[in-house]
This record gives sequence, C-alpha cells and structure tokens, in this order.
Amino acid sequence: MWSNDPMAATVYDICIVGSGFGGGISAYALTQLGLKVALLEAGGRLRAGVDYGHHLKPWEMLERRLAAGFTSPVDSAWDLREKDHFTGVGDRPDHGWLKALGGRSLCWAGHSLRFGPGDYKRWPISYDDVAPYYTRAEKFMGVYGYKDGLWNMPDGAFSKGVPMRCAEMMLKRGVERLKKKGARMEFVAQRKAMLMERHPSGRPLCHFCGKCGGCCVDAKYTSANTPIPAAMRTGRLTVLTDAAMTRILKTQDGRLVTGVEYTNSKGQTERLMAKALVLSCNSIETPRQLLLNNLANSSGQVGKNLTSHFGVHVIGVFNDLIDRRAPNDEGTGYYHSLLTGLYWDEPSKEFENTYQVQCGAGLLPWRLVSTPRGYGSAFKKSVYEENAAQAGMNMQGTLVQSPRKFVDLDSDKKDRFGQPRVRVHLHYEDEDIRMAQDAVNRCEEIIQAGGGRVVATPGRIDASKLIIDYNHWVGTTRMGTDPRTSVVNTDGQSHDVKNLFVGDASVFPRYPEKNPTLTNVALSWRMAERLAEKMKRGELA
Amino acid sequence: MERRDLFKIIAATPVLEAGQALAQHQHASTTGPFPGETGYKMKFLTSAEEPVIDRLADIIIPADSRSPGAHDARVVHFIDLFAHYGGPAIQQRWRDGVAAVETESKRRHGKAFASLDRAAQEAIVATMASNEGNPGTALEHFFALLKQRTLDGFRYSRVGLDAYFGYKGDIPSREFVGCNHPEHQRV
Repeated sequence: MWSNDPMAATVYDICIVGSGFGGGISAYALTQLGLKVALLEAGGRLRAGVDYGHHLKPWEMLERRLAAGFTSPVDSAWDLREKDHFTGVGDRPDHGWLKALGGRSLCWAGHSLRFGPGDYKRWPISYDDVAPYYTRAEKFMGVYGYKDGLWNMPDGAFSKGVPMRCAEMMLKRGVERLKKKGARMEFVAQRKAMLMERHPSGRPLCHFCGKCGGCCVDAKYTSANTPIPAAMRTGRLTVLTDAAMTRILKTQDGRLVTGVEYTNSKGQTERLMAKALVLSCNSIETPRQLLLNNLANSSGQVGKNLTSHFGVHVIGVFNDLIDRRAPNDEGTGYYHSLLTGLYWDEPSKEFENTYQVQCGAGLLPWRLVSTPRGYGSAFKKSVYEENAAQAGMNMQGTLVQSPRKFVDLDSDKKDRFGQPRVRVHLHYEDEDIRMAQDAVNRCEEIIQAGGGRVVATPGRIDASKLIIDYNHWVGTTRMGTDPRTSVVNTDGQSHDVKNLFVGDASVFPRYPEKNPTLTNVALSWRMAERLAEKMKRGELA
Repeated sequence: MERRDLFKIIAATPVLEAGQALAQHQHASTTGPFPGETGYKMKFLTSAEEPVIDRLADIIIPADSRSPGAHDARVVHFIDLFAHYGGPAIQQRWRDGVAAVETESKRRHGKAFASLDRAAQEAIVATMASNEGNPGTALEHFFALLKQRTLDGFRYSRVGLDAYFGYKGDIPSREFVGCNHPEHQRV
C-alpha cells in the first residue's frame, strides 16, 4: 500500500531505506519470500512522460527549459537531481542524487554489463556466486544484447540486441585493424535494460526516441516501474514517500537496530519499527548515515575505499560518412557500442585498474559534438558534415583507491534537519592520470586506424581535464570476511550489527571498469535472500 | 503527418505493446507562438536591435543550396529567448555587442548597420571573426557568443531541424536499423 502514515503499532519484518536499484530489488525479493516490508523514500513520486520525458519539439520546449535554468531543450529525469547536498573537497568531486521513488534508476542510461571472473578475483566472493543472480536480474530487468563470448564480460540472458551506427562501425574497423597488429581489445555493441521484446512486467517496448535519461513510457527498467509495483502486488509492501530518515533506532546496548525515525512530508517526526534494516541510500549517503548514527564502524572503514569511474572524451570524424543523409540515429541513447577487453589478460604496468570506452555516433541535432571554425556557407557545410560523420569515445576508467579518496561528515555545514552534510574527497593520483593518458592515446589511434581524423581531444592529460562520473561511486561500506578490515560480510550483513544490511553499490570491495548497476541489482537480490534465510532461521534477533 | 498522430497510431498497435503507456503519455501543455513562428513577441531585443541580430545571424548561417538560413528560421527569436533568460550579465553582452557593431558601422560608413548593403555588413562580420578562438576586441568577443547562439537557435528551429539536418528522429519507431552498409562492415 501507499502510505504517509504507517500503522504505528506495526513492526515490519524489514525496513528498507532508499528506493533506487538496491532498495527496489530488495523490496521485491523480500516480499516474494513472504516478509512484510516498509520502503522509505526521501523523495516523492515522479511519473514518466508527465514529470519528465517529453516529446515536444525543441522550439516548443525551449522557453520552459530556459525559464527553469537549463540550456538544452531536451529534458531528462536528471534535471531533477539534488545538487546542494554535499561538500566537495579536492579535484571537483560531484554526486548525483535523485530523491524520488526509484531514485537514480529513473535517469540511468541502462548499461547492464556483468563483471567477469577476472574482476571477482579480488573479491571475497566469486563470479559463480553471483552468476545466477545476474541471470535473474537480466531477465527481470529486460536486458538486451548480443552474445559476444568475452571471458571477462560474460554473456547473459539477453533479448535481441540493438546494432551500432555507421561511425561506430568505423571505430570497430579501427579496433580490428589494430588487433591484427597485436592489440588486445574488443569492440562490441552495448547491453542495456530496455525492452526489445515482450516482457512479464508489462512495460512497453522501446520506441527508439533516444531520450533514455527520462524514458517517457517506462520501456527502460527502473525500480519504480518493475520491482516496486511487483512487490506492491504481494500486499506485503508499504511504501512511504517524502519520508527522510533522520535517525536509526538501536537497542540500548547498541547491538541491534530496531527501526528508524524519519520526517514526513508535513515535517512531523515519525517512527517505524522493524526487525531488520536495509540501507540502500547510495554509496555516499549510506556511509553518511552510518557515520551519523555511529553504527557498524568498528573497522573504521565506513566511508573509506571510495572509488568511482572517471574519464575524458575524444571525438573523431570519418570522411567516408560526411555525405550521408541522416537516418533516424537516435536509438537507445548515444552510446550503442563499447571498447572493452583492455588489460584483462595482461595488466598495465602503469596503473592498477583498467578502463572501457563507451562509444556513440550519429547526427543528433541536440547533441552537436563539433562546432567548426568560420561562418557562412562553408561553416554551415562543415557543421553538417562533421556531426553526421562523428563518433564519440568516452573513457570510463576506475579510480585507484587511495587514502585521499573518502567520505566523511562536514561539521561546518548542516542539512535541513541540522545534521552534518557529507563531504566527498577526491584527489586524482598520478596513476589515474596515466590511465587517462593511455585511453586518450588509444582512442586517437583507433579513430585514425579506422580512417578518421581526431577533431576533439584533451591531448596531454592533467587532473583539470578529468571528469568524474558522479553516479558511479562505490566502495564505502566494503564487503569482506575480516571484520577488522570490512564493514559488511559477503551477505551484505554488518559485521557489528547483525540485523543491519547494506543493499547498494557501496559494498563493492573492488571496482572494475564496467558499469555498476547490474551487479548492484544482482548483489542486492542475493543480499535480500540471505537476509530472509537468516531471519527465518532466527539468526537476526 | 504530425508526430503526435504517429504516437496515436503506434499506441493502437498491439505488437508494440506500448498502447496503454503511449496513450497515457501526456505532452506537457505549452502556449505559443513559439520562437520561429509568426506572432512571436520579442522579450528582450529592441526593435532597433532585432534587425541587426537577424542579419548577423543570417550571415553566419546563410540560405544556400543546402537549405534556408538563419533569417528564414527566425533565429533572432531564439536569440531573444537565450538573452531574456540569460540574466543581466548575458543581456549586457548582447546589448554591448550590438552597440559595438553599430559603432563599427558608423566608423566605417557613417550609418547604421541595418542600412548597409549586405557586402558591407559581411565585411564587418569578417572583422568580428578574424581572431576566432583567441578574441581580443569587443567585436571579436561578441562574435563567439553570436555564433554559438546562432547555431543553437538554428538547430532548435523547425527550418534547421527539418530542412537543414533532415532530422528523422524523435518519432516512435518499431526498430532501430543501425548500420546496414556492407562496405562499413569490412575491415
């Protein structure tokens, strides 16, 4: 049921805080297993195609967008994200937080890549432990893709794939030519959680409008359109929106959590009692809540081990394509292809982690990538040709974990409840810069090998040119088998407080180059099942 | 056929399974006239500034064999919106930019920019563009703003989108074809 006034006398089996990827799938899994669940979400409900996601023409949309402070006439659920909830320290950290039912799943790009056996070598669990949950997650979310046979980005339960555009094929050509000279890398089509075939959820099929950041019909998987409605249908889920947790309630000895205190939409303080608590707030807010409540941190690792993806952009133009008359290039968002397989078999000597490169192309008037010099008819001709023939390469590398990247509390700045805001500390290391330089050099090489010319590149890299991925933070409540060096165990359960679990990407102990969401959903699903088993065995009391 | 009609058709097509969602997909209400349309009312540019911006934009993106240009697209309407919502500092740049163009016009020819013939106007734009990428003078700085917003207005206009880009996106499609050119598949 929907509620802003939960039954005060009710003690829920589970309280989940946060309704994004981790919280949504946890609510689904736990209610399927017969447990009574309350789901707290700090934001309200947003409706696809109403509150975000419009198909108005740009001239119809422009004024309302300018009036709202945006410059693009294309709207996205991203436009609704919080921006003033954290303090950045160092090299321009940023954080995306969409306070709404479904959280950032409303505005994600849909990329759904499995971590591979090689990635799990540095985890306390193996690929085989997670593989069944990947398969379930792919089916449940509706992931499309092609079978590529890559050992460290395994194929999954895909619906039919979506092909690349012409300029992406030029990049693929460049990759294949370099592979013939000994380069070790792969170029494949993307895998995304957007419906290409009928799906049990009843979500409509993708109609290829390209505005995936605010999918107007819910063809893209979100927590709000698939797991939460399914959990609601069990009759065992209560969803509380506009409910911001302000305190975690504990037993007197602090050994167990008993529920949460939260502020409702009227500003009133309420309590919700539960036998177990799942934090699915995100990799910045979950450690903040643990630090605020002085909870689950005997290891001192809460907020540490922070990492994310970062990158740079390189753009090429292929003369073979400059005369093409544009078809409908929109598809499923800009990136239809992926450069991957880099340093899987033989790690770099220059940096510990690796990177992938998300690639896109197409004549997309709202996303012109090239503004040539000059004016007049020659300029007009160049604008068309360069944008019709462009391919963009967006490096996505993994930041090395270091003591200079972490999350803590800001004692100087408070949120609206008077509690310390979170500080995000980001300082790029030389190793990060070396990786980005490697990526830039490689992208330029691929464009040229494919017959193109580089029209935009950061060139020589320094920290000022790096762009942080504000959605991909992980690591701040890392899992491990040793309570002295990790926050949660391999089931996502706090080492210190046995009825406290974490269901988000903050549990990732190490981070490959691949996008985090599919693994977040798979691991949260696994966590929820482990939680339910432990509860039924009476191990959480 | 209008795009909204296409949505209605697709919405009724069972194979898409999108019927219910698309039928319920409410487009946000707006009120015209929109930029580029007859009846648009200027919000920021004065009646003296409007023809100056209109001509400058048309020199940057002229009509040619490829498509109509910035004047036909009424890019000046878009620039008016960008300036109106850009805040005081941006508005001042537009105001000062037009004033600098008028000063240059009077210095060279003793009359207003709008009254010059096109060749004389183009010569002033050539001066404005002479140090693109490394602007020094007020005219050169103004050119950077003018050019960017001219391109923005043009690509957001009906003329730019349809006649110039030949854009076929942002409509519901049953499939995404992708690259189907055998010559592009060859290594």
